[in-house]
Amino acid sequence: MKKIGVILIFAIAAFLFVGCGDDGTALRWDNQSNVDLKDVVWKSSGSVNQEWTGTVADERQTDYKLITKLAGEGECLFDTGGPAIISLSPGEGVVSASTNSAIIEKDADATLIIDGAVTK
Amino acid sequence: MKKNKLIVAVLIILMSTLVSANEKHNWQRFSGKWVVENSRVTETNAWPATWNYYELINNNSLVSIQDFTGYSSIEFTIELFDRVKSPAEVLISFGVRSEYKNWLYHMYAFKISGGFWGINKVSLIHSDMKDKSLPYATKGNIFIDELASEKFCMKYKRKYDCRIDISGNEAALFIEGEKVLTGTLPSDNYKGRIAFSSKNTKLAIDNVRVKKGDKIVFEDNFDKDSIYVRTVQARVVRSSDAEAEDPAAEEVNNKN
Repeated sequence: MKKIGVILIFAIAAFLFVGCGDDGTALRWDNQSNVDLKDVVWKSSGSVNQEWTGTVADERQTDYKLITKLAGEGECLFDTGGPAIISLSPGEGVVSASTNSAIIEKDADATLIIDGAVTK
Repeated sequence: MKKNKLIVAVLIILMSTLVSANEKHNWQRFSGKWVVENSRVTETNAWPATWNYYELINNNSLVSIQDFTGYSSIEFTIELFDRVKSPAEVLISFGVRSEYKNWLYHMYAFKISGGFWGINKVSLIHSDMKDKSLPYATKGNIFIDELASEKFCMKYKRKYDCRIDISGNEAALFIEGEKVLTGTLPSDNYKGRIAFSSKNTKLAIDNVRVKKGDKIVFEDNFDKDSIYVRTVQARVVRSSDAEAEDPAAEEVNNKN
């Protein structure tokens, strides 16, 4: 009986250890667009899942932040006050991407490089 | 030879004119997801934006590209449906303008709002920057003055023909031909863009007309997509690949 108890304790501890090792899925933005951007958000089904408040200057990156919704899309503001949709296209490490949205691989650390043409 | 060159030049100019005519945009998407289908435009997100700058961008907003001046009425059809949360709000804005680029702080609007059972209030509001000494990109730096309000009833999932009449500094909202609210604007300058916005409810718009007396100066029946969506392109990569691609990137990141 004692043996079973000890085995159970070890099993639970091992399970918890594995659980703690799961860091989740993290995103950061790398602004290579030649313009300064503000307040980048990661949205899923219309609601904001994560946000990076403040200016992301050209050739700068945001910090990593965890997202809980793997499928989503990006939006940001220009310093001139108007908002923009961030149209995502697949690189490595993303399961899929359609016109504007993407599905990020679970538990991956992904960088979203904003480097395409900016339409003003 | 010269004649041929001239013909080619004229053809090129003609074709480029035709292409630009086809790409004519009447509206700019400011926030939310606006879809043109079934000859009307619908905001399909319902959940509001959370930018917390000017009132238009805090709602899901579609803003006219064009500035209007000296107009006397705005006509449109609206339908509210699929409320996701209370309060459900719709703004029909006019006199939308900025002092600098796209920071569209100044606006007047008829606001209709309600809850689960339907729309129960209509008001006329004025919003602008609160402290003009602060930078444009300051969160929460707005005031919203309620100039007039009334109890009011409107149902979800029903189309309503609406009209805003403006004369001097008086503005009135008519729904199905009946005047539901009149208010006095703080100034008779209502020059600017017009906009439609929603929060916590989906909204469909159709048959928008801006008139000077009987003359129609602007019209959109949304028979085709006339919305300009500002877009930036981005690639999604594994972070390890991003660093391999740009060795300086990690260094920059560490400085942040």
